Amino acid sequence: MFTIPKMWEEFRESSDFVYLRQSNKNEQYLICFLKSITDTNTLNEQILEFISANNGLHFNELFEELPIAEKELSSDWDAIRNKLLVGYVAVQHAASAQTILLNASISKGRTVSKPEIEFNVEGSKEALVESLDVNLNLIRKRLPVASLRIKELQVGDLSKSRVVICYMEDITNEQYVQTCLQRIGDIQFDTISDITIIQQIIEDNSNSIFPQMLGTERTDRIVWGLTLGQVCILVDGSPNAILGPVTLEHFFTSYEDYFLPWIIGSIIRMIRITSVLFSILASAVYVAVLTYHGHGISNSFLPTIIASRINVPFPPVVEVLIMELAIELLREAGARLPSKIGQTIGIVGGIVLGTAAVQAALTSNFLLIIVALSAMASFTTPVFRMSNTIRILRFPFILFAQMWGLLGIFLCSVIVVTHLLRLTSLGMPYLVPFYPLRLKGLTDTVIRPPYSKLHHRPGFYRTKNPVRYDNRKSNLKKDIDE
Amino acid sequence: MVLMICVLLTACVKQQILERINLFIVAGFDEISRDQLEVTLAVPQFQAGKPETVTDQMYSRTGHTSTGIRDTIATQMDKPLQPGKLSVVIFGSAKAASGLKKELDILLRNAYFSRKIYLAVVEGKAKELLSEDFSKKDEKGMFLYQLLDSNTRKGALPGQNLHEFEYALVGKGMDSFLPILQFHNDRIAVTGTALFHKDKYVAALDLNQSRLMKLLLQDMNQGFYEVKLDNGLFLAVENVGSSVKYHLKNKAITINLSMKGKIREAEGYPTSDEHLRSLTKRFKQQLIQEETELIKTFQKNAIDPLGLGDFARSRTRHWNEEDWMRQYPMMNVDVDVQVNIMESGIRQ
Repeated sequence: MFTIPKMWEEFRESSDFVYLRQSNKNEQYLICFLKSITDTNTLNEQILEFISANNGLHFNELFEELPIAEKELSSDWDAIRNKLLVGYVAVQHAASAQTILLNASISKGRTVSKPEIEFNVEGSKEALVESLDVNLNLIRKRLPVASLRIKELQVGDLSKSRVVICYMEDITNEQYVQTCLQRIGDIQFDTISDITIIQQIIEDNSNSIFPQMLGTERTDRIVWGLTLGQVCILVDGSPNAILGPVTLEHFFTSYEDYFLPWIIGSIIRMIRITSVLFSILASAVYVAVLTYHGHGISNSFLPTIIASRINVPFPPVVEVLIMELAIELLREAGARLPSKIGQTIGIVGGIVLGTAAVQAALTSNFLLIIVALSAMASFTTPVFRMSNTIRILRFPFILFAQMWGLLGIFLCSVIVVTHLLRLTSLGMPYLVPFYPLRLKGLTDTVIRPPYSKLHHRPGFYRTKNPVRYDNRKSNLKKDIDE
Repeated sequence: MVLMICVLLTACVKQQILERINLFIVAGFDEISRDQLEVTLAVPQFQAGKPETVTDQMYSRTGHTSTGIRDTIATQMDKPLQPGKLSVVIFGSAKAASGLKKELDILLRNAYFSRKIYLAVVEGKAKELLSEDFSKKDEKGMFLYQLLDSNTRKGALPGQNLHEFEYALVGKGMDSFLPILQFHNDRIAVTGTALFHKDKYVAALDLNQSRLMKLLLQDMNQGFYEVKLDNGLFLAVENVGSSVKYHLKNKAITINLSMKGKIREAEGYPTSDEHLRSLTKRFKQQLIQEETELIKTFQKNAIDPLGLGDFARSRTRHWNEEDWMRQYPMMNVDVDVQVNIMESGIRQ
């Protein structure tokens, strides 16, 4: 009969800590585990069953024979404690100083489901989930090659999050991998609950509103990035991964473009880029033109604008700010509420408030159209973090437009472009291949080229192997009698 | 620091919020006496929520300089006056006859004014024309703008905007011209072309002559021309494509005009091949005769709205404007016309 060792004392405060004594005639075992993360089926049917059935075995023999794949023999208290915290069962014997550690961990999480943020019509409906092992499984399944490397690190003093870096050994530039490994290793923050936290910490410029890593929940997009030479970072507990290095252009690329015929895909991509520009500039141009450049409006358009503005008591900038804030309010309210109420909010806010605001002459219906259109246009951005950036970016443009008119808009774009020029993503220029100009890298930017033109990886990734396939050998669509 | 500059510099640009200023689309200039000028502005009044009903308020003042007049007009207004939307400027015929230099200078000097402003001469006084209720639906300035746009720039009549007018005025070997507006029977109409010598209005062409003049000015693909037959019958031919080329040989200018036409109106005239041939011949003769007469008119007045001098300058080394103008009234200008009637309609 032995008592519980002193070392378990700190666990006894937690109610999910279980210790039980199992006696087999003369052998007495102490079995400890945290029941919240331990699979009781494994424990009952495999461990306890085996111990009671194999009466009389020596402690070391017991360890050898236990039918559990992940087992360890340890006497180091720290190791034991860490294993116990991730779902191991500790088995001790009075006669031995060592402890058997058996993996009986169970992780509860949701099953693989449809992508919610990067929804698509065609293509797979498979998105990452919170469990890292499931996510790795999803990626491995799509890339069954040995050169897919997965490096695991542990980050966060409190959360002890498992962070994984995936890359293709024979493609990805070593430098990007090393940069990621080093930056993640240097993270000091105590709880890493999501990949976005890692993203913000390891980004080249943490003070920029532009994301410098591409967050995605689509496994096919991750695999596409990996095969191009990007590095993918995942963290346990987050249903998103980040890809890097990226360029600005990637944020306006939806993976669905690759599922569509290349002409349609390219046109949709161009529409998306135009709508982003529209979203940033529309309300700023409205302010500038109405405040400074009235003579730039064509004659036939003039009555429409003036008639809708004439009873509005505010200058255009106040009017625009009110409307933009109202839209942000709607968006924020819609995002925070359950989806069913969110719809109601959309209707009440959008239709009722909009009409009422025009009738009460708080805003012109012309502006209402512009603001609604530009809000819609900002939603076309396929990457959520970038659409946040764009909705914030509008405000400095509006203020500059108020101060200096179109010149102000130009000034603000100069500032934004200068900032973009200085940005890097894991050391790669953010505006590549447009600046520095890489003509071959331009292949897959504004235009989504046909697959016959995608025989090389973009040069700016500096991949170890730039060739995707040998386009000279490819001769599809041969005639059958050739 | 940057923020400070931003805040401090904001007062450096004048804010002109669109609905808090008075715009005007049309302005009229009249001559009162040698140094007195009358300026008339039609200022549109907009109504909230009804872009289709725009009324005009007329402001008219006399003074010495139009800038000074604008200032006195502004004293009657509840909102500051902003000249940037000016699209049509009309001149009374007396004003046009005594020269437009001063007014043009204001328009050309100020970057607020578009170079695409339409200019026109009014038969009578500009103020009277503007005070007539000629446009039921549109704002007066808008109406005049569209009238001039559809008839001169897009239509079969010659006309010049501010930029072209200045080019012809300053350029050597050419003279400018403007459309003439007239108010008649509740309607305003383009009734002809005012020909200018330097900046002064010296002669007028009627509607038919104006059409013929535009044929010689540029390649056209529109316009109707009446052909008078020997038996007194009139036929209408539509121009579906005409091109004009000038040739200079031995100090004589030949104008080659070739036109493709369609018969649009030929009641009582058989359209067999034989008849078409004689019609073509008749039409050709008529065009040659009319165009030659037109050029004679230009030569008589010593004006050159076709820019023949400019054409000669481009083909002659050491071209001299004075020499040219001395020769010009006597010069031999031949008109050679090719007419091709392509179709006579879908009826026998």
